[in-house]
Amino acid sequence: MKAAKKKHMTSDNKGALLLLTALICVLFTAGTQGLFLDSQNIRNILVAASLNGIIGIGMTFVLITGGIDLSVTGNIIMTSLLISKMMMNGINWGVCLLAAVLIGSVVGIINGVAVGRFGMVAFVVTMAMNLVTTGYGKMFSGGLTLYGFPEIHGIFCKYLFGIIPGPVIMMAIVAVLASIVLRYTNYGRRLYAVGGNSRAAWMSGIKTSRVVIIAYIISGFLCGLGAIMMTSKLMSASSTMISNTEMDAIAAAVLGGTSLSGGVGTVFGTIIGAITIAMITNGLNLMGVSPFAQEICKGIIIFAVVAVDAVQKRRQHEA
Amino acid sequence: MKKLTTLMIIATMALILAACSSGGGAVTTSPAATKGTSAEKAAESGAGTETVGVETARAAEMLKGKKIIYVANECASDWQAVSTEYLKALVNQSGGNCQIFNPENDASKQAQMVEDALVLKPDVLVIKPIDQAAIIPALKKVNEAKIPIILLDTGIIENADVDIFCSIQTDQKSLGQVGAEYVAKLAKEGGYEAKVVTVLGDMSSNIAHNRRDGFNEIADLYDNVTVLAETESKWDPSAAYTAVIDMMTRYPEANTIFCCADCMMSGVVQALNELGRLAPVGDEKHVTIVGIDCDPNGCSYLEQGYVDQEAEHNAALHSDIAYKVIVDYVNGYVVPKTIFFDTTPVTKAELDSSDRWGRLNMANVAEWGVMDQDVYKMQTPEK
Repeated sequence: MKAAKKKHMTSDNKGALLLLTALICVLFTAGTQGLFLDSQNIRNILVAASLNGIIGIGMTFVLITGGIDLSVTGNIIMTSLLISKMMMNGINWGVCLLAAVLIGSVVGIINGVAVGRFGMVAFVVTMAMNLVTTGYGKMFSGGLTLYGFPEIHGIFCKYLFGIIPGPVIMMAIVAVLASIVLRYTNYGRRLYAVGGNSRAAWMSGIKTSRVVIIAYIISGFLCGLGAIMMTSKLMSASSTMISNTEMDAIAAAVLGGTSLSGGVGTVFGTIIGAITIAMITNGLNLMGVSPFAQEICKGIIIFAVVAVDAVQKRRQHEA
Repeated sequence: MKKLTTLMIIATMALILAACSSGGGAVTTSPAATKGTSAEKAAESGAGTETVGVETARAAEMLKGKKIIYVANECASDWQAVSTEYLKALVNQSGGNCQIFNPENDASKQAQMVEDALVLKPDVLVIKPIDQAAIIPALKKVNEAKIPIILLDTGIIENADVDIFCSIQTDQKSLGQVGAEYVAKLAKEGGYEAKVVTVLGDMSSNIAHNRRDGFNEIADLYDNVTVLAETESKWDPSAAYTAVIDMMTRYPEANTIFCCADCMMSGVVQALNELGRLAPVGDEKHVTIVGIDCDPNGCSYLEQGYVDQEAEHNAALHSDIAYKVIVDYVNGYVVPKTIFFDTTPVTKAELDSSDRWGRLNMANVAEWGVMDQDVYKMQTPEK
């Protein structure tokens, strides 16, 4: 009965998000005299949502366990700077790509072991890791921008058939694979079990620490992928290339129905959340809304959707 | 009940979005209501009433129907606030429409915003790059769209395969050099050795590097100037406060502070106050302070006597030049590829003698009108 209610609750939240997304679409289309739905603008929105979508998927895995990963920005920056230096030093391009996902995953392993094995507080551990990784990246690069990559590295941001941007393809592939893992694998079921009630999961024989560690590794791996995407897009790397990515990723996941207390979340919802956030930023820019008003609007919209989640959760608890 | 709550929230958000779009959009000033433009100055010089009316109309139509997009680096500092609002006011008063995009110092967001801007098909794109290299791919797309690019204040990497219509920049190194020259001069006159602690900006930015390097290059030429310590403060006054406390505690013999930007100056001054070492020029306890920007904060501290000299980094001048370049481009005039200019050192004596941008009333940016400056003169006649 509770599981059915939880599923229903998730569906309701996604329904509200889809309705919100549609409403935003209509409003911005009207406000920009149709420019919002221009084919190039739709591609811009999807590309803008891609990094957040990929990182958001990783964050979803972590949030389902009831944890959090605040190290994504530092992870991406450090990984970007390290692989950039490798490319500039002539190391084989394929090896650099492999290094990116490995470096990202190593950060995930450290986070996962600290949280899952030793029971450290995820918020503090990952925040500390964010500082360490950002600082290491800056130290490694001397605070300078690195550029001068082999041309082939830009391939991830080319258009397939001249229409579909590379980052969107990457996001789609990651989303499909992640969705399969969550819905159709034993690991996915265990992830939800641990997030729903970790003690009950442990008592039923699930190795909860292993489940948590793997979630953080997935998040770290996707940060490595994010680093590849960003360095390909900008053909450079620096410590200012991104900022507050973890907040955007959490917002995307929570907008999409992932619960901050764990046990609930879907990849599809996170992708819709990421696209919604990108739409809001894009639409407000096209409409010429002042930069300060934009921050207020975005904050209020995200706050409102999270409020719905909190109200629903409270009702479920009371029931 | 759940559905009703959801619908109510959605309706509220729709209203908020509608309010944001009506209340926060780019300012479009009716040309008839425009004041403080060059037309009014022409009137003051003796032109007749009819000529004023014609000039007002002409000035108010110089950018009629043109769309300008300014992709800033951020909008939360005095410098950027003036730069964005002043350019917007000048463009809007000339019949154009200027929109400001704010990527909040995130290089990838800035690149994305450049691509978003292309959808609006601007006539000119003005940009202050956050990262000299990261913006290149996005600027290439602007070239493909055949939209002229004006770089403001910061440049891009050398030999980048991007066509820049005009680059308007202050020599960032000179901002640091001027500070070091003044420090050396004061030390020579006072017969002491200047022992300097430096409050740096965000060292991931080229600007911060150039300012520091400029100061250090000149400091190295003088035996009576020694840089004891440097601390990165990321353009943040609270970080600057901590940096000064730590450096002055570590080096109590330090008698000079070089602050790389006035956005951090309040932190520097308050830190000295906390240490009991804040004293105006002339007092024997005075710690020499040289800064950069000469923004309202810097001017205020110059006036109070706590800061000895500012290297002016004029936000309004950059935007005024950008506006004139845009007008000349629109009217078919040839514009130089690079407009590169030095700084002006400003002490308390110079504060009152001329118009410093930091002394202008920031609340009335829309009424400043075009500047009377010698760096770039508009070629398009106003009459």
